[in-house]
Amino acid sequence: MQEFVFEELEHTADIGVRVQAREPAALFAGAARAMFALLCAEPDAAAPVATRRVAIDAADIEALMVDWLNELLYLHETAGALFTDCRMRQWSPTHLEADVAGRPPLGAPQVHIKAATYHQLRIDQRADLWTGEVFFDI
Amino acid sequence: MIKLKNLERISPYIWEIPKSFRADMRVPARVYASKTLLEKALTDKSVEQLVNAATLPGIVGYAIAMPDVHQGYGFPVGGVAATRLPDGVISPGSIGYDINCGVRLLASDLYAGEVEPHLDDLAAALYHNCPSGLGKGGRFRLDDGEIDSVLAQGAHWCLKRGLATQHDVIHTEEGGRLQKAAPGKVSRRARDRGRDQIGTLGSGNHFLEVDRVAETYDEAAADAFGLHPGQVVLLIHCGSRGLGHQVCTDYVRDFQQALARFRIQLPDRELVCAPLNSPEGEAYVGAMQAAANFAFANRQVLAHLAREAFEQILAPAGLPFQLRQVYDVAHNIGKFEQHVVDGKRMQVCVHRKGATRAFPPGHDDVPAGYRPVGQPVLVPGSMGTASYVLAGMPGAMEQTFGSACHGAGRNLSRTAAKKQVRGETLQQDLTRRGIRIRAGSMSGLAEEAPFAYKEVEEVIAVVQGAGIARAVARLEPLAVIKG
Repeated sequence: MQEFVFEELEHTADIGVRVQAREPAALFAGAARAMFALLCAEPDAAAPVATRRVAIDAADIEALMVDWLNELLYLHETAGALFTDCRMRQWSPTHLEADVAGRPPLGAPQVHIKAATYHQLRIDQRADLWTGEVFFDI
Repeated sequence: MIKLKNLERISPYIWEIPKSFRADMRVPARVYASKTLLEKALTDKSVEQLVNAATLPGIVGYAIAMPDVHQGYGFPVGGVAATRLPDGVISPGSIGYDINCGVRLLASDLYAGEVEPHLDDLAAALYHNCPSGLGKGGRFRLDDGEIDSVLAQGAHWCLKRGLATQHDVIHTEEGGRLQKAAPGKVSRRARDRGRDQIGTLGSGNHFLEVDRVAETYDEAAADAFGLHPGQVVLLIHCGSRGLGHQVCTDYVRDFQQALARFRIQLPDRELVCAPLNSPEGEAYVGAMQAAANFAFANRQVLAHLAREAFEQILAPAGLPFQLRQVYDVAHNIGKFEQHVVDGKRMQVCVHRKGATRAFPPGHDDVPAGYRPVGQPVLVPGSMGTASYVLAGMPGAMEQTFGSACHGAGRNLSRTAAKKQVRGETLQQDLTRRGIRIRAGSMSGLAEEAPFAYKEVEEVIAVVQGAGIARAVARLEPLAVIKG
């Protein structure tokens, strides 16, 4: 399998993603890629124009995922870029540090995501497969 | 999974889940619905989320769902919960990420037939003047001092800038300014997100809509609101944009860390909360009210920009282009209000998430001109169908903490809607019916297809039947502008 795979999940009013990866750090990078794929049909189409260093500390792995995605949404909205390229420098269940590169969106955004939420949030590991499910308020 | 048999029918429009249903419920839960609407609500997690809301510390009366209820995150959309002061909680997720998302109605002196020849140009001018989508900042970029002023003053900031009239702010819920706003409790990040977003529409289900008053039902109220059949009106639906989203994000994160200290156990982390009398709770109240003021100002600036579009297109044709504000209501908000609970009058914090204040005739907080008939309640339907203007009734104070519905309520997921229709096809269908559509995203347009929503008439019938609010006027769309 690739480093990560993802799919869209249905919700009455909002929208979610399911991401799977062999490594937890790849799961987090995949969740970011999945979120920006909701925003823009071809999030990787343009060349990167902005890079940022992101560091997050959280109480547990679920909070780390929500805080990570919300940090990227903040960067997205203030820098006007899709931060699809994430290189994890450090990762533990309560801390991550990553270099992220943002590309300008081509075309109109498909949705506007207000926030990543704890609603039906799931992160688990079975054998050597990590699965994460996150729902967004849109 | 909650089933129909778990609910007791209290009246034709009220269904109750007793407190005994789950050990952690502090009050019973009540759903306002017809049997058909209730059965729809039971197909997702709406009612389960309502039961979860009934566990909030300090909740009084009932956890209440309006007939347009649908599954949200943590707290259902279409939910109302009142918590007692001083030690009840406030829950950011039970107000929503789009703090003070709401609806504004402006009325013209034009008839639909007069506007029809200019409708394409008017829709184009509104789309141009009112930036909608991401990356399209507004005409106003605010420095820190001005952001502080907007956060503290709401629509009154617009008044000082010549972007509002005294009539506008008088005819806005709370006069367009919440008094406990604390700009200092709004983070740098929230300010960064909102800096160039004042006077922008956003996307999703936010819109501007040029409507025609199709019918009036209550002549006294319609006269008081200045509405009559054939008249052209404008609806604006949006909120606090990225600034409000970040305020909610910040406090949901901070409250997660404080929860253990407050020894609060919750069935869903998204319901995270803090006591109203705690430093954390007080900080969120200040930030939330500041974000709400930003939303009042945002809708006010949008109204100003829409007025410019009307003037630009209709003045050269010698038509009256003025737009008079009918009312502006919030439907994602936490408000401190006086209500009677178990026979005792008390101050409570009413969480309304996808629910509209609906104060009855005679209430002091209803503008003087509307006091004999009740507060206007603005209920947009799905795109391409009808919207309603209601008036608050005494039943709202007696049953629902002065609250009514906020829309039609979703019936289908966005993904399912997109599978059933393409945005381009939907646009053509609506155009054939004479409705002009200007949208930034065809995919976003498909998600808002009329069939993705419940029948707004079913929703209105419930609030009317329950005595919460009564129908005053039905509006039908002529042009829809979306992000």
